[in-house]
Formats: sequence, C-alpha cells, structure tokens
Amino acid sequence: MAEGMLAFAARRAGVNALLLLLVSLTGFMLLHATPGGPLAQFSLSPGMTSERLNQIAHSMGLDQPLWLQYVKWLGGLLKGDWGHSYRDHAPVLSIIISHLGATVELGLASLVISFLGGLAMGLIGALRAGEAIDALCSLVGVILLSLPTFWLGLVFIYFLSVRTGWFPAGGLMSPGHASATDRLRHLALPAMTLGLVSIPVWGAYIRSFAGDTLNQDHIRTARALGVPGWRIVLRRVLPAALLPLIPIAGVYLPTLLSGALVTETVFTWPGVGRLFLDSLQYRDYPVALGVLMFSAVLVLMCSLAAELLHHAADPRLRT
Amino acid sequence: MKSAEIILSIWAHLRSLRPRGRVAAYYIVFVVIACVAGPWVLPYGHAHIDLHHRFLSPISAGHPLGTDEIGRDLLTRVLMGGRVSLLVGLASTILSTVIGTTLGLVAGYNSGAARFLITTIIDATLCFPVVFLMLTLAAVLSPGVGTIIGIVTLVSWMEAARVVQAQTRVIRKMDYVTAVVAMGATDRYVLMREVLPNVAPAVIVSATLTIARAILLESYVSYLGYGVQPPDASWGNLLNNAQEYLESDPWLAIIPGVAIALTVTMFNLLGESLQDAIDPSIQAKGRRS
Repeated sequence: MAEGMLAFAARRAGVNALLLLLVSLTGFMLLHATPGGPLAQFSLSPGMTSERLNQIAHSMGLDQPLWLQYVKWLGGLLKGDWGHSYRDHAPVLSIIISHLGATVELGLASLVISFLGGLAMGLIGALRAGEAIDALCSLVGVILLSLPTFWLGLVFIYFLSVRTGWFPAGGLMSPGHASATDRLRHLALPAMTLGLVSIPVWGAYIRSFAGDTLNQDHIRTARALGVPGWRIVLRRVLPAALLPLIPIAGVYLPTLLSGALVTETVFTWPGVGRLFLDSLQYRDYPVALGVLMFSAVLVLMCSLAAELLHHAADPRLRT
Repeated sequence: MKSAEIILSIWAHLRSLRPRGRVAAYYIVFVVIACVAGPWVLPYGHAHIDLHHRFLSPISAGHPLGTDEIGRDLLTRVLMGGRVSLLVGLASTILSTVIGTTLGLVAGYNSGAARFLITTIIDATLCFPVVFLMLTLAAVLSPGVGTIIGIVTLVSWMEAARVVQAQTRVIRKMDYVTAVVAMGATDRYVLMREVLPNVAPAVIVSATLTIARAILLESYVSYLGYGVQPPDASWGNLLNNAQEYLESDPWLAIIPGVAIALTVTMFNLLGESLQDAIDPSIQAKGRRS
C-alpha cells in the first residue's frame, strides 16, 4: 500500500522533472533567441556604442554559445542562484519571493470566495436538478465564466470605488496606516473580481460529484429511512463530493495564476503577476524567466501534492 | 441543391436546441452581420478623428454609443473591434481544432510512443498559466493579428485533442470497427470513414467552446497591450486606455466589455446546448432524481 504510493510519487516526480526541463528550455530559448535578445534593453539607452554593448555582453556572458549559457543558467537555477535583475541588479529569487505574499493573499481570498460560491451553486444545482433554479444556476455560471476578468475589475472600481467610495480602487494598502481593516478593504475588490469568475469552475464539479453521490443506493436508503435532507448532505454527500475536488485544486492553480496576473494589473496589486508583466515591459528577462520557472515549479508541485493527498484521503484509490 | 440541404439540416438542428441555445445562435448571427456590415453602413471611419466631439456620452446625436478621447465614434470602433476579435476567435479555433483533432486521432488510435508523446505534450501545455505563456510569446514576437491568432491557437488545441483522443479510444474498440478491420480496411480508412464522422459532433461542441475562450484570451492579451495594436481596434484593446478615463467616462470601458461578455456568453451557451443536443444522456442524468 505504502509502496504503491511511493512508486506513484516517484513516477510523477520523474515526469515533472522532465516537464520542467522542457519548460526551462522553451522559456530560455524564447527570450534569448529573439531579435535583440536580452541585450535589447541596453542597446536602447542613449549614447550606447557597439563597443560598449560588446563589453556588456561579455561581462554578462552573453557572448558565449547559447547552449553554454543555458547550461550555466540551469545550473544556477538548481543551486538557488536565479540570476540578477537588469533593472536594479537584485537577485531574481528574492524579488519573486518579495512579491509572492501579495499574490498568495489575493489567491487565498479569491479561493475562499469562489469555493463557497461554487459550493452553494453546485449543491443547489444537484439537489434541485432539473428544476428552474438549477437552470438559473447553470445560466449564471456560464455568464460568470464568460466575463473578462479585467472588465469585471473595472466595473467594480467604477461602481464600488469611484461612484460610492466604499472601497479603494487599487494598491495593497493606504500609505501611512496599514491597519488590518485597511488591508481588507484593499483586498475586497480584487478578491471579489478573481473569486467571482472562478465560481462556476468549482460549481460545475461540485454539482456533478454531488449529483453522482445523490444517486447512490446508500443515499436513497437513508432518505427512505427518513434521515433529514440537510443531514444527508452534510454527512454523506459533502465528503464524497469534496474528495474528488482535491486533485482539481492542483489543476486549478494555473487558472488562478493567470487570473491573478490580469487582476493585479487592474488593481495595481504588487504581486507576482504584475512583476511578470513589468519585467516583460522593461525587457528584464532574468526576472521574466524566473517568474515563468517559479510558476511552473509551483504548479507541478501543487498538482503532485494534491494527487498524493487525494490518494491518502480516499481509501478507495488504494488497492 | 446540396448546400440547400445542408442549410435545411442546420436549421433543423438549431430548432431542436434548447431555447437558450437558439437565442445564442441568433445572437451570434446578428453580431457577425453587425460587425461585418456595420462599419460600411455607419458614416464614420473607425479612425475618423473629430476633436470637436470628444468624450460624447452615449445616446448623443449621431453617436449612439458616444465618442472616445479623440472623438472617434465608439459604435464604429466596437464593430471594427468585433471584426478582429471574431476573426481571431474563429481563425484560432479552426487551426486549433484541426491540430487538436489530428493529434487526438493519432494518440487515440495508436498505443505506445506516439500516445505517450502527445499526452505528455498536452499535460505540459495544460500545466502552464496560459496568460503567462501568451504574454511571453507576444513579447518576443512582432505584434499583429496573425501573431495573436498563432498564440491563441498554441494554447487552445489541447481541448479538442483530449476530447478526440478519449472518443477515438472508445470507438476503436467497437464491434463495427473490428468488423471493417477484419474485412481488410486500412488504418486510414478506419480513421477517416469510421472514427472521424463519429467524433465530429464532439469536435463541433469543443470548437464552439474554444471560440468563446479564444475571444476571451485575445481580449486579455490585447488589454495588457501585447495583442492587437492601436490604431487597429479589438474588443480587448478598446479597454486598454479606458481605465484612465474611468472616473469621467466609464462608458468607454463598460461598453466594449459588455460586447466581450455577451458574445463569449452566447458562444458558451451555444456550446452547452449543442452538447445537450448531441448527447441527451447528459441532460437525462441531470434531470434524474
């Protein structure tokens, strides 16, 4: 039993390492093999001579063959040396980590909103399958899924900030007084934006899993025996419907990160997504590449962890 | 004669859709006609600048949706943007459906190396945050409509590939396929004549949902400034500078966003209804208990 789990973990870790290698190679080649490449940033500054440019290229090791640069970069990556930003020369890894907190805060807050919303929507749909309210839930789900995140953010800013002044329009906190309420008020709009568009993702899965469980014999038996409906849902349906959600939480992370990038841009939220966009804009390739690798590692680790957790939590998967 | 039959059969299928699917189909036809024909009918060019009439609010004389920061007619801009957004959605969907279906057929029909390779590529692509990948590509390629079509295709083909692969695996083991193989049918014959027609409905559903997603993805990249470049309009880049004027002229941001949200919703609704229509078992399952 434990062996099966270990073997499973080892196999997945192997495949993941292969995927990461592929990701790193693609990312590196994309950013280094393009016109201008990493040097484009410097060639734009005034008074730049080709001589000076060559010097810079030499000092950064950019005149070496591409494969050697890649191997060196990859080696540094493994040792925790992710290179330095072109902009302020700070180490890439520490820049990313300093932006991580804001993204985690936004991600968790939106996850709570989308999960609770999805739970309500999915359970209503499953319990009232085929009735008008089920159709309404699915319609609302399709609409939420179709909203452009950035537009929803702008609508929130206009109606809940500009017009009413209830919430601040952006930023992590007000400069000067960083109280907990102030931070929560700043978090409200971005978290709602990112959370609302993700509700149908959870809603659809929960509706389908809960629907499957509701049709099983032990539920019918419990119903026939007169067990109250809410008790069946809490004790029987929920645990069975939530278990298969664990691996989906891992798959969901890429979607969350993409949404976070857009949301952080709209609300000038100083997270990893915004860092990535900024670094692309300034052609700060070490940082852009670093964020790309960081998110890939994060996604693969989370999906692996979620699958292992699922295996551990669901006795039916152990054979 | 033949095309008349096809139109009639499409009509019959549309009539068999659920009401919301039919509404969605009519809306899509309407939007396509409006975006294609609208800019010809309207008196303003989409780049017609009129500095005397800047920031007109909607329902102004001659400008039903108002004008933007340099006096361009917003309705014309939205329709022109719609052309680009719909074109990107349609073109990248066709491309990714062809690529996805081909890879799906190959992976579903073969076992062994080909399947392993293709499923690994699918998994690898799926584990990327899509917007990060698209922005990286957009940043290093020269911007334009062709580029954005390519980029959206690159992150959209997996859906069709997964659907086709799963179905092909099932169909391959069906008795009628075994029968034609026993009669000496080639792989090519089996794939084109037996498998493809049977996965076609699922492919159409996935394509409809892919269009919805592609329009949304284009709008993200263009909103962030890496997609369709001004002065060309797309629904995404119309919102690009609208944030600056949000306080004084919210319509500039709200109207193009409504166009995106409404159109994407309708494509999703159509896809959902088509799914119900081709696979009544899903509907029946939902309606049970």
